[in-house]
Amino acid sequence: MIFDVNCMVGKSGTPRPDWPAAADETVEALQRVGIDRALVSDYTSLQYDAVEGASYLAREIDRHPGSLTGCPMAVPDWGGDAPGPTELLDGYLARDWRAFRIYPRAHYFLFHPLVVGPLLEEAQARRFTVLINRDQFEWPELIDVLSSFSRLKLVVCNEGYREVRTLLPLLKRFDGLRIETSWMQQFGLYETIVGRLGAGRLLFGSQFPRFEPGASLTPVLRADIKDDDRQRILGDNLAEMLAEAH
Amino acid sequence: MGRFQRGEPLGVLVFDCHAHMGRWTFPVFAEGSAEAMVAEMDRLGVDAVTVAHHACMAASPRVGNGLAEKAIEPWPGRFFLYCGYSPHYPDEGPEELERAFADPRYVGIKLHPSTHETAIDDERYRPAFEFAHAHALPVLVHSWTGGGTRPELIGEAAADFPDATVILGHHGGGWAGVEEAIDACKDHANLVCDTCTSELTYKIVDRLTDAIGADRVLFGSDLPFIAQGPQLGKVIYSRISDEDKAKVLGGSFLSILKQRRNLPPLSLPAKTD
Repeated sequence: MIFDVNCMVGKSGTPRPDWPAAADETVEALQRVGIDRALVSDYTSLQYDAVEGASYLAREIDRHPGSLTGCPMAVPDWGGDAPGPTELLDGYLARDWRAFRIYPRAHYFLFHPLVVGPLLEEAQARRFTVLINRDQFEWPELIDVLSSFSRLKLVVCNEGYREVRTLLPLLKRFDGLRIETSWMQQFGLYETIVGRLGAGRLLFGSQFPRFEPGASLTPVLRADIKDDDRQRILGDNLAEMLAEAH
Repeated sequence: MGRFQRGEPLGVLVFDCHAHMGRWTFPVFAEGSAEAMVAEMDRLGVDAVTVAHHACMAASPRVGNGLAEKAIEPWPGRFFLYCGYSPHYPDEGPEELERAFADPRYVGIKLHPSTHETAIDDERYRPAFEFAHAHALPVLVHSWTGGGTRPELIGEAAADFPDATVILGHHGGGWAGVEEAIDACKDHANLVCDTCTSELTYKIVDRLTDAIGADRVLFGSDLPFIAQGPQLGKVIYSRISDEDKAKVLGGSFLSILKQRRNLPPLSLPAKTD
C-alpha cells in the first residue's frame, strides 16, 4: 500500500493551471501512479479559516472514504475563536481523523510552547500526528517545541534538499521527528538516512497538486534500500502512526 | 510508465543533458563521485549523462574540467562533458575552450551566470557563444527568474549565434519562470529547455512539450546536486505520447549533439536511436 502523507485537495484561491478542483480528480491523479491512499488537507482551511475549514474538508472527501483521509488544520484557541484542544481532538477522532496540520505563519501564531503548548500537549498525550510545512517555522523554534514535547510525533513537510547538516542531528536528537519526502531530493538521501537511523523516520509524500505525484514517488520506489524499508516509507510508517491516536 | 515502475529497461535512449559531479557547499553524499553517479544511473536505466563538475561553478572551471576528465575515464560512453567557462579569467574562459575541445568527450559549454555573478549579456560571455556557434555546439545556461539569468536575456545574448543551441537550464526556474522560458523559446529559434528543477511542478513536462515541442525539451536532472530519480519520474509520469517521451528522454539531445562541426568526432552512447 502506498499512503501519501502530504496532499492538498479542493479549490485553491491561487491555483496553477491543471490543478484539480475536486477530490475526484485528486484521487484519479494519485491512483494513476499507484498511490492508494492519501492524507489530505484542504485549501479552504489554509487560505480562509482553519476552524470552519474542517467541515469543508469533510464534504470534499466524503465520497472517497477508502482513498482520502482527512488531515484538518488546527489553531490554538487563545483568540476564543477555536475549540479547546480536548474538544478539538475529540471532534477529529469522531471523524476518524488522527493527524492535523498547523500553519503558524499563515495563521498568525508563534510556534513556541507558550502559544501552541496546550494543543501539542493534547496531541502528544493522545498520540495524534502533527504536520508542519518547512516554511512555517525556523529551526530554533522547532528545537524549542520538541525539547518541550519529547514524545510528540511531528512530521516536517516540504523540507528541501539543502539542510541535511541541520536535519541529521535533529533526527538523531528527537525521536518523534519525521520527515516527509517530496522535496528531500538529496542524492543518496534514502540510503544514508535508512543506513544511519532506520526507515522509520521518513514518510512518503507527493506534495500534490503542486508536484507531479509520480515524480515524488520515483526516488522511494527506486532507492537502493531493502524492500521492507521501502514499504515502511511508502506507507506502513504513516499507517502505524495514525493507528496510535486515541 | 508501467515498465519504469516494474524496474524494466525503458527501451529508449535516456541521455541526461544536465548533470554535475563532486562535492558542493552543502553535503553531497558519496562525494558526488562518478562511481556513485553510475550506480544511480544503472538503477534508474539512464544510459548517459553530460556533466559540468561543481568546481566549474566556483572559481576555477579549469580545475573542475580537469577533475571531471579524470573521474569519468573508467566509464566511456556513460559520461560526456560540458566545458565550464568563467567570464572572469581568460585562462578559465576562451583559452580553456580551445584546450578542452581537443578532447572528443566534450560536447558542450556550461555557463553559470548566477554563481559567477555576471549577467549573461555581459560581453565576456561572447567568446563562449562565438565558439559554440562556430562549432554548432550546445550551451547549457543556468536560467532563473529575475536578474542576469532570466530566459529572455539569455535569448537576446544568444541571438547573434544561431548555430549555438542554448539550453535554458531549469527552464527559467520552475513554475515561476517557465512561461518566460516558453516565450523566450518562441522568440528565439536556437533556445531549448531542460526539465530539471527540484520543484517537481505538476504537468510541467506536458506544458513545455505542448508549448515548444518535444524536439526542444531535454531531460536533465542536476545529478548529483540532487537525485536523478525524481527528474526522470517527471518525464516518465507525464501525459505526453511515448514518441515525445523518447525525444525528451534523449532523442532530442542526441540530435543537437550530432550537429557539431569542425571538431574531433564524438563517441556516442552505446545505445542510440
